[in-house]
Amino acid sequence: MSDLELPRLLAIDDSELIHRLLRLRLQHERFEMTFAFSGKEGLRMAEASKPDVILLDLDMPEMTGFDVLSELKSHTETQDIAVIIVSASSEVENKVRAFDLGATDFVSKPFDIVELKARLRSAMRVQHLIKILAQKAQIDGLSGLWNHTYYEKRMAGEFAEAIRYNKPLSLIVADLDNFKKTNDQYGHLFGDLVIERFSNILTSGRLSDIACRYGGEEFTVILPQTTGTESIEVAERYRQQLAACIWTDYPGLVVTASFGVSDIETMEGPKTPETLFSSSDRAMYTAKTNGRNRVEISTTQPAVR
Amino acid sequence: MSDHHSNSSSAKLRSQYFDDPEIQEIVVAFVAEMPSRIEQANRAFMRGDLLRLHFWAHQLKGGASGYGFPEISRRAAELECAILEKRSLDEVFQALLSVTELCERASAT
Repeated sequence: MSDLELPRLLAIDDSELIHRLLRLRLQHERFEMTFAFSGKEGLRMAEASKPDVILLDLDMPEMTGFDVLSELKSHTETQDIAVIIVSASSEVENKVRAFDLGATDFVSKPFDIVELKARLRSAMRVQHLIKILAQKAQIDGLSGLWNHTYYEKRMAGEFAEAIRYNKPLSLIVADLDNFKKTNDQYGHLFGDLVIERFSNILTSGRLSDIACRYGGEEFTVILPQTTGTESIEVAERYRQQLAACIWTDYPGLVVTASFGVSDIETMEGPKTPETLFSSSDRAMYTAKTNGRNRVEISTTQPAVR
Repeated sequence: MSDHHSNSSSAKLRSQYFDDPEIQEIVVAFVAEMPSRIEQANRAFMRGDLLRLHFWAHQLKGGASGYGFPEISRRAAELECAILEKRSLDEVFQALLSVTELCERASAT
C-alpha cells in the first residue's frame, strides 16, 4: 500500500443487514470497502485484491469463519492480512481458537461502532509497522536491493503463479567479473561503489522486474511474464550499461559482469525455483568460461555475444 | 442505551438507535422491511422449508442488534437453535411466533 492509496477493508459476512450497517457506519473512515457474502467469495476477493484488513464473521454456512481464517493464514499471498473476527459468540474457547489460528483481534456482535473503528485503526497501525519491519529485514544494506531471503520467498511466489496460470517467467543471474581483483587493486570502498552502481543499473529497468543481491558480487533478477528470449535483451542492456560506466577516480577502467539466463519453459530438470536458479547459474558460469562480459542462456539458443 | 420495552405485547419496540441520525435512515428501512420479512418466515415454515427458515433466523440474529434491536437478535438465536437441535415443529413454531411478535412491534422512532 502506498501512502496515497486508501487502506482496503474486506468484510466477509453472510448477512446483507451487516453489510448495510458497516457501509453506513464506516462511511466517514478512510477505507476502501468491499464486501463478500460467503467464505468462498471472501477468499477469492482476498487473494485478488489483497486487502489490508478483513472483518470476518465466524458463523457462516458452508465455510465457517474458522475455515476462512485457516485458509487465509496458510497461503503466502494472504497470510499477512490482518483479520478481525466479528462474532455473536463471546465464548472464550472461540476467541482462543481464533487467536491461535492467527486472528489479529476479536470483536463481539452486536459491535459498538466506536470500539470497532478504534480496533480497525489499531489493526491498520500494527499492519503498517509490521510491513516496514518486514521490508527492512529483506533489504540489503549496501546495494538497497532485495536480499537473498526476499529472493527465495518472492521467487517461490512468482514460480507458483507462473506454473498455476501457465505464464512465462525468467531469471537472470549476474556476477561481477574479477571482483576480488578489483577490490584488491582499487580498495573495498571502490568495490562498494561498483556494487552500488551495478545495483542502480539493475533497478533502472522495468518496474515489474525484481532485482536482488544474492550474495557477495552475485545478483539475481526475477522477470515475471517474460520469456528467456526477452530476458536476454534485458540482460544485454544491463551488460552494456555496466561496461559503459565511467569511473571518475580510475578513467579508462572497464568493470564488467557475466550473465546467465533461463526460463521456466525451456529449463531442464524438475520445474522448481531451485532448478531455475541452477540453470541460470550454470549459464552464468558458461559466460565466465567463454571470456566474461557475456550473456548466456541455458538452452540450445545461441549466446548474444 | 436499553431496549424500550413495555409490558403490553402490542406496544412498540423502539430501536436503541432511534436518536442516532447517522443510521436512522437504514433503521427506518430495516423496520419498513419487517412485514415482508415476517411473511417470508411464515411462508418458509408453512412449506416446511426449515433450511430457509434457519437462514432467515440466522440473518436476523446477526443483524437486528446492529439496528438497535438486541431482543429480536436473542429470539432469532433461539429460533435458530430450535431448528438446529431438530426440536418438534410445535417448539419451532412457538420460537418463530416469539420472534415475529417482536418484529411486528419494531419501530424506528
